[in-house]
Amino acid sequence: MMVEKAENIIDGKTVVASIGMLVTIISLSMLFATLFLSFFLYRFQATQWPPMNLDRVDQFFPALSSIFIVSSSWFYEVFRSKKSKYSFLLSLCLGLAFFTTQFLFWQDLKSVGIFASSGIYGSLIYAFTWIHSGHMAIGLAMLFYLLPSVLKEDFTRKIRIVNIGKFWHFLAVVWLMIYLFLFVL
Amino acid sequence: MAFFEQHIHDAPDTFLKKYIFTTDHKIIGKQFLWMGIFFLGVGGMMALMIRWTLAFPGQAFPVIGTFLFPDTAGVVPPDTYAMLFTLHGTIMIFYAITPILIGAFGNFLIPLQIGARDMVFPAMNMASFWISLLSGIVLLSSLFLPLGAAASGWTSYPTLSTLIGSPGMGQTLWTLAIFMLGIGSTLGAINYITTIITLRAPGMGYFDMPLAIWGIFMTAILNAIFLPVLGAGCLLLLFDRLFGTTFFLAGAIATNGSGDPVLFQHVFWIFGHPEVYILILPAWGIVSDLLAYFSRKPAFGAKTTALCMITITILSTLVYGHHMFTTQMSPLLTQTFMTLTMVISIPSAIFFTNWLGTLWRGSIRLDSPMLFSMGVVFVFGLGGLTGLYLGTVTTDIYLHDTYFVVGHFHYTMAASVLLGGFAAVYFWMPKMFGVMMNECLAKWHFWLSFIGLNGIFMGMMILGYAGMHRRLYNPFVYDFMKRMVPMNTMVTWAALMMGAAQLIFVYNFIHTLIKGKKIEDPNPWKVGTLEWTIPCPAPHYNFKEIPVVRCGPHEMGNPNLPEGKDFQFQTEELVKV
Ligand SMILES: [Cu+2]
Repeated sequence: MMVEKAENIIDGKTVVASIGMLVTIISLSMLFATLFLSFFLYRFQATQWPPMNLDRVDQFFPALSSIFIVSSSWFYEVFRSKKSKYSFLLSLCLGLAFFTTQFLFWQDLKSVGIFASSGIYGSLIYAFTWIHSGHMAIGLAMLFYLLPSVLKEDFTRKIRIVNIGKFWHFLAVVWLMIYLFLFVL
Repeated sequence: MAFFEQHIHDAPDTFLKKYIFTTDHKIIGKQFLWMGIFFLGVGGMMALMIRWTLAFPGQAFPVIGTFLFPDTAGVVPPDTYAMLFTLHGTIMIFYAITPILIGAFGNFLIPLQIGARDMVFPAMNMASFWISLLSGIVLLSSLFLPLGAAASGWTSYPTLSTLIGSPGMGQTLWTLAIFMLGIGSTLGAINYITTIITLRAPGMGYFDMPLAIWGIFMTAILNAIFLPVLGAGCLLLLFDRLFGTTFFLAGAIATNGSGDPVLFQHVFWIFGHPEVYILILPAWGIVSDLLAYFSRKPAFGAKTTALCMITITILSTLVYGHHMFTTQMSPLLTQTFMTLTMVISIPSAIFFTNWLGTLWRGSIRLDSPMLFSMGVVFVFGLGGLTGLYLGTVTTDIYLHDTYFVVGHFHYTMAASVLLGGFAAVYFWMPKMFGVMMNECLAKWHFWLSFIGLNGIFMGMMILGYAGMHRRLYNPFVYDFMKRMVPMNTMVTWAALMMGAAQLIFVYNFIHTLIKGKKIEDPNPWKVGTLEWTIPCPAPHYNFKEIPVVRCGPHEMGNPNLPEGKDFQFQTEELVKV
């Protein structure tokens, strides 16, 4: 009887944390949805894209970023389901690699002369990547927060692991949309 | 119903833990209340300066004028005037009404009225308050900058708000402050939603919640969805100002690659229209409850009222375009937004009828909370009706940006929310602090405020109908507005009267806190919701035993009740024949 009650408590708290994370993700999607709204307004009002006879940005680094962030998400799922420490470390490293490619991407943009202040094309690319990277930094901080317990092979905080995972996947999805709409199409 | 039972924590022992970095929802609610009352005073003072300038142009503002504006011998200078109306709007909406109605009463009422021991994420609750306070400090600090605070109106439309329109740091700090407040309020909203879904006492279905909780619930949902939209707008504006991006610069996008100022208006009003309901829904809920309590009968059509709140919440997300009829919107869009706006009047009318139904044949007790609630009914009715003229394209084109708009939104957003907030303060004072406010002073406060605010806002609507444009430093330099001086003077006297009435409130509030006698009866209003089943003021754990709910929140005047009793607690089985 007692055991059953304790299990109920854990279940209740799982639902609570999930609802909290769900609302958070809905909020953040509205933030990015607004950014995409502005992107589409600019995109469809323009007679030519990219504007000002600019060339499209080089896709090498954004593509690399996409590969890193998707595989990071994937390894996180492996970590969560198989409870493997090494998948978690791999996921964390891939997250850091994503950041590195972002920095390299910004360097690359600057070297071809696209700055935040050089018209709406640069503005959009920088604003999207900045805001997304800001959220990525929070996501990485969460992963680092999990790191000590994972290193000790302590997987008892299931709720936290699941919810941080949701946030991490959400950021991956947002990045894929940014990649698709800003860089590919 | 509750998903899990919260533990009873030990009472906090140190001052710091108890009053500053507290996680107790009741103390956080009080912190928000103090913050809101402080900013209400600041914003109100700014309003008086604006009114003074309009009624007596070129005359020094009395008493503190020479101290505040030494360069002009006490006269409000034109650039300061622009800062005043900007900060008045911003402060009243984001730093007075939001903290009082949503921060203070949201925090205070949710756990008490749904039978929980605290919010579900107490630490997040604390963060929400401190981020809000910090953002308030950032905003106020902008007043001391060399170029002054933001001066582009509370809507902060580009290009007024980009570097071209306001080169100073003030606008940057304004944008930053609103962004921070957005984060704080969103954290609060996530907390409210999760708490209401998961911590309702056993037996409490959604329709057994008091309508006040319904209002706060809907507000929290709107907040969680739409504050991030404003947040995104603020971020883009910040980038424009700090890093030279060109989102809101005017110009053709294709040829010179600059941005689109109207985009900010879209983003702002996608958030801004729901914001109106974010502010008004808690007041609606509170008033719906109070009308029932003081008519001593169940709220008429309580379920319909709740459903109307949901409908209005949903519809409010679809109508933002009615703020932008004059931005060369296509006729198809203006017609659509107009129709959708008109549709909102259907649930609003049902809602309003329910209020009247609650009052109908009730044994009405005219205590101060009831007076304020009935004030809301009147003021909101008037404010809502005048909204129809602004929602209709044909009339809006003429009335756009006149004082008619100012009068209208003050009736709905300021007057009714303020009166609702005061009703709540008078009503829950015993629960919050264990003392009763002086009833006689409360009634003076009500009548002076009520007459004052009708004088102000009715006068504003008449002025607006006559064509007086808003945000003008000295409208009387224009020929056709020369004759509006006497009306403006009347409005200003009404404003001074209303300002003086608030001093009565402040005196009453502080005096009661210091000198007030502890009440003996833990249920002074004879109301059956969960918060009145526990002692006044509530202990830090709220409920020793989590209550089990067996009936609705307004079971009053039931003829089957035993002699001498006209209400029953929510924990009691509904009395039947
Ligand atoms: Cu509106």
